Amino acid sequence: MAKRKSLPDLLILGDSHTAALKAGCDAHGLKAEVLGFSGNLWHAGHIVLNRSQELRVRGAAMQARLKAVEDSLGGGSVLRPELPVLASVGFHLGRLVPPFGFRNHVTETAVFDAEEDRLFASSALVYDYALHFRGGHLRLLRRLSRLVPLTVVAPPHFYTAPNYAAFYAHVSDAIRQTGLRFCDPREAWGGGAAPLGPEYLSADGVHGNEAYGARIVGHMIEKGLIGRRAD
Amino acid sequence: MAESRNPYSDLPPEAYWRSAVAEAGLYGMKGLWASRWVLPSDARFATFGSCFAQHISRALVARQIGWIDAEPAPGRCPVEIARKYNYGVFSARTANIYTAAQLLYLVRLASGELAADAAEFWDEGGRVYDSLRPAIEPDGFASRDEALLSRRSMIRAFRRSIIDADVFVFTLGLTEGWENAATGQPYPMCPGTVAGAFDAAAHVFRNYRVSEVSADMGAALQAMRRLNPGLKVLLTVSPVPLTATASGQHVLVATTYSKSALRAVAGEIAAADPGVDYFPSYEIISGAPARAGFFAPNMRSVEAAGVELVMKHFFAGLDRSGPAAHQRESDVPDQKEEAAEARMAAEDLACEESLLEGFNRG
Repeated sequence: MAKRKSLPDLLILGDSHTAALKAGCDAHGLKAEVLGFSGNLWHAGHIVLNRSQELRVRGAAMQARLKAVEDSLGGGSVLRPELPVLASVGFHLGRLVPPFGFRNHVTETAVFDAEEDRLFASSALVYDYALHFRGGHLRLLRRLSRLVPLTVVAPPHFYTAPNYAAFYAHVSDAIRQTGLRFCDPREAWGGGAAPLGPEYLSADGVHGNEAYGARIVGHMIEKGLIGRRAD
Repeated sequence: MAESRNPYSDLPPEAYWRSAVAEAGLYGMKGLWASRWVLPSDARFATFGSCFAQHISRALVARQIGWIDAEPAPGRCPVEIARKYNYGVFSARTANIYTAAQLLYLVRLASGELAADAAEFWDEGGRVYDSLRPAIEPDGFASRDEALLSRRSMIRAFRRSIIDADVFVFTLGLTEGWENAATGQPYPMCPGTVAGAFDAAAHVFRNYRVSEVSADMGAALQAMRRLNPGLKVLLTVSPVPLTATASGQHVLVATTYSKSALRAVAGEIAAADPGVDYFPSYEIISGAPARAGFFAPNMRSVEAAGVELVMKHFFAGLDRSGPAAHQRESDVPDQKEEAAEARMAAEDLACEESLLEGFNRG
């Protein structure tokens, strides 16, 4: 059995956006452990809480990743009441939004006006669609919040392609309605709907970079959402 | 003495009630309908009209015959959500088109003769309802802008279904309807029943006469053929009786007037126009051979067995023996999805790399 070690300030759990959050924690001197799985695995429901309230994941490689973090924390479940969790879970828009547009549906007036083959989708429809695919994630987050001090953080808002902003807003609203502690990065950038500038994007164009991480983590510290853990 | 000859002497068995109906029995009737057109093997059908028309949509889809779905549900939309938002019922989200006046109004919208915002929107309880399709979304729209965009989307799709169709199938449903007294806008249902508020001064009841239905249908056909000169129109009459009548007559009498008038108009138009045909779904369900046996206990809804028999006759009479006329555009969405899948897979890879880089940093 792995030897019990001192716990970090927080566990960052979630998708590939955990990397920027980790960089942000490093920049602010917060000790963070990361347990990240690609958004497609979250989308497919491969990460679950079992009846014993332990995190479980499908696939040997992913199980090894989970085991490594369990060991790093000294063994046992990664979910502990004394270890706050910052969750980048519930959006995974890269797997949710493109299929919605397979039949040319859009939510933006400008795109609808500009392209004759577009169909318009109402906000109620988008909300129902998003909730159908993300309801399980919200239930998972609610269960997590009963086990650990939990803060959910939305991904960086850099989207310019059609429908992303609408899904981003609807999933954010759905998380807010659950009453979970939630950080909307748009608030850290003044609350506007404008997408993030390229200076906050990584080279792959789909993730926040270290500068983004530092700013969003700084915002969450300032708001008291995360901080140094008192042993 | 030579045998006397007359026009009835050499008629086929279908021409005689005894052989065609009484002896054949309900399930033995043959030759009820034969399409007057040889359609291309890949013929495309657009389906609209009153609620019975949706059975034709479903039957075409089930047989993978070219049903035009010009306004489909979003990709990977769960069936229950698609149903909740009335996708997949007709070729565009027009909702039920009960009257010829409604059809003409929609065609005018599709042809640009009327602006999309010409028809009313109704504000109710913080939500906005489209007076052309008050129940198209379960709780209306969030705003007038959104309701208008959705209507414009429907108009686009309706126009596309007319343009892309080989056959426009239209089921006539009612002669009774409501109109705005000032603008003449026809409503699919009386304001105040599903949404909106009834105003006796603004909303007038109409029980369209045969001549009015005929004129509206004629004008609608003309306008549709301006969009698609080769369009063929297959008319049917819904056998579903009226839920209620505002005519002052007994509902049974009102139903008989309504269906008779529509049946007469359909017959007249089909007789005069080689581009129009009539399919007898009304007769199959409501005719004497069925002894009203296809109606549910409420004597109104049509049971599945009746629909099945209607569709059996429909497909028996349909002639799609002509050469294919369309390119396989149906493959295009698949290619688009494949490309999107490839992009998503590439993004998955980027995500995994981002995670691994994060671990390396840690």
